[in-house]
Amino acid sequence: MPSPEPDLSPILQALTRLAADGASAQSGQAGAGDQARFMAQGQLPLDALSVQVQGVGALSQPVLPE
Amino acid sequence: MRDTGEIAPAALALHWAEGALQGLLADVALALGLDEVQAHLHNLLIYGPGQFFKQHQDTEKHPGMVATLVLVWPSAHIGGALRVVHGVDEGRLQSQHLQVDSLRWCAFYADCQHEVLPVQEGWRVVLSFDLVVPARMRQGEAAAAPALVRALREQCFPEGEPSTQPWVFLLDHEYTEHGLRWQLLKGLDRARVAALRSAAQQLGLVMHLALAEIHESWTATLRYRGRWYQSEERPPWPRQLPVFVQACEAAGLPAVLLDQLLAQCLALRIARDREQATQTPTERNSAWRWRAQYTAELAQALAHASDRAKRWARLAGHVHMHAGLYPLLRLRQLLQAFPPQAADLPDLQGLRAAVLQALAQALQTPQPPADDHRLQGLEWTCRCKDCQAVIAWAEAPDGYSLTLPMAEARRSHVQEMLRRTGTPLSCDTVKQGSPYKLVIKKPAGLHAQRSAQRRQWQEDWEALGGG
Repeated sequence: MPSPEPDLSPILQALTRLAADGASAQSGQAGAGDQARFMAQGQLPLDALSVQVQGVGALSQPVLPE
Repeated sequence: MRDTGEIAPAALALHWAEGALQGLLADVALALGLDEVQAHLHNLLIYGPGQFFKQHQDTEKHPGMVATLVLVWPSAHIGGALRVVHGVDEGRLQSQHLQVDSLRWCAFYADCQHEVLPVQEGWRVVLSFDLVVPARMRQGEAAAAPALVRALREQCFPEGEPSTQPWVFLLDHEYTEHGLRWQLLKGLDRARVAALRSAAQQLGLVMHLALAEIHESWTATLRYRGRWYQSEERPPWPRQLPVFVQACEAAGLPAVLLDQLLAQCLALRIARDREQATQTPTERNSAWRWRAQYTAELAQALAHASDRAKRWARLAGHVHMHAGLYPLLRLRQLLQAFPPQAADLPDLQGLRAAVLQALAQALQTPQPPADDHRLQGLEWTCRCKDCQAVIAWAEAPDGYSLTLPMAEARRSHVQEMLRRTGTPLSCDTVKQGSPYKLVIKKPAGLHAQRSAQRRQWQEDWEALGGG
């Protein structure tokens, strides 16, 4: 578990510890935000979504190898 | 700003598999630190070869919009990476590595600057959604953390008496006037503020959200030399940054503000370098002196940051990556500006090794004889037929001048190319005959300049511990 930088103010040290401990700072939420990022990415199965374009038809998908 | 095809949402019909959208939004909310998000389809963008979207920030198109979700269709393409920047941090969605058995998605907060790099081949097809925090959502009440309550009490009630000084906590993300709401806070801000708010309530303190506008100003007296400006004449931060930061620290400026200041300085340095990287060699070289000085000052000032090792590593890595702005053969003073405690950082060691290698290579290359007048190491900005003739002559060892009978437009083009490249060549127009002649000469004293340069390389190599 990372320890707060000694140069931080006591308030920031406390906030940093909260994040590191994963202590719930908001009801029903994870920790003080150590998991919160400015961006995230992931994947979905191909069949999760199909898209119809008016006047064009369905967006095609690649054919998977057997 | 952008070069793409676009299909409006009214022309699109989406059919989600059962539970797929709910699962996706739950994953996105969790990753971004939100309780719940709703998605509004914004459009479908199609990027063909060469098409792109320049760096920009999304506008808040709906009340409660906090983020953007893009879903990349599995169409084959190369290039077209999505680059997302938040402060000094950066992330990428490399969709060209698309697995054909899945759809790739990427979500990011709406205040992040982002761009889509040009597609090289194929078609990049993307569904874009606006992510909104539902109006019914409110920040939950959290139990106040005892350590935080104690720290806040020490800050706001020193020696038991209420302080008359307000305490300010700067948020990580940017907010608009409409978006600055407790329930719409983003990322780390959200949980930190909830924790602070609970602690403040327990102490009977009142917390407010406020927009801070930071105005930067400096004299706009740009030095005019020829037709281009010396864009680095003014530092992007207070003059003599290390002294300023030291004074701030001595005056009791809270560490968090100092950290914010230094993080901003680093971000400004990187942003200004990104601008300069697109300039002509002449413009970049004209700003070298200030760029080197201010970057060295920044390296020194970062010693006062609480996360100094991370910041130094970022700066060293940035310098290493931008050889066009920071030529390896000229980095002795910058390397020496990093304080000794930064010396063991791998990024700085890598930069130092690269500089030493470049210096060693330069010194091992035999110096051309005195009657060799070739110009080397120039970054030519045009290679059209006329310019190619000049380049071939400039890179040949002969010392004679070059005479080019040319009409005015061609003469101007060649002269402009030489100016943009920043060559030491001199040009004259001989107004005799038709067309007039452009006469280009190589500089005198080239051999002496090379000798002086080698002596400097030798000194730098020894000063940096080479050998």
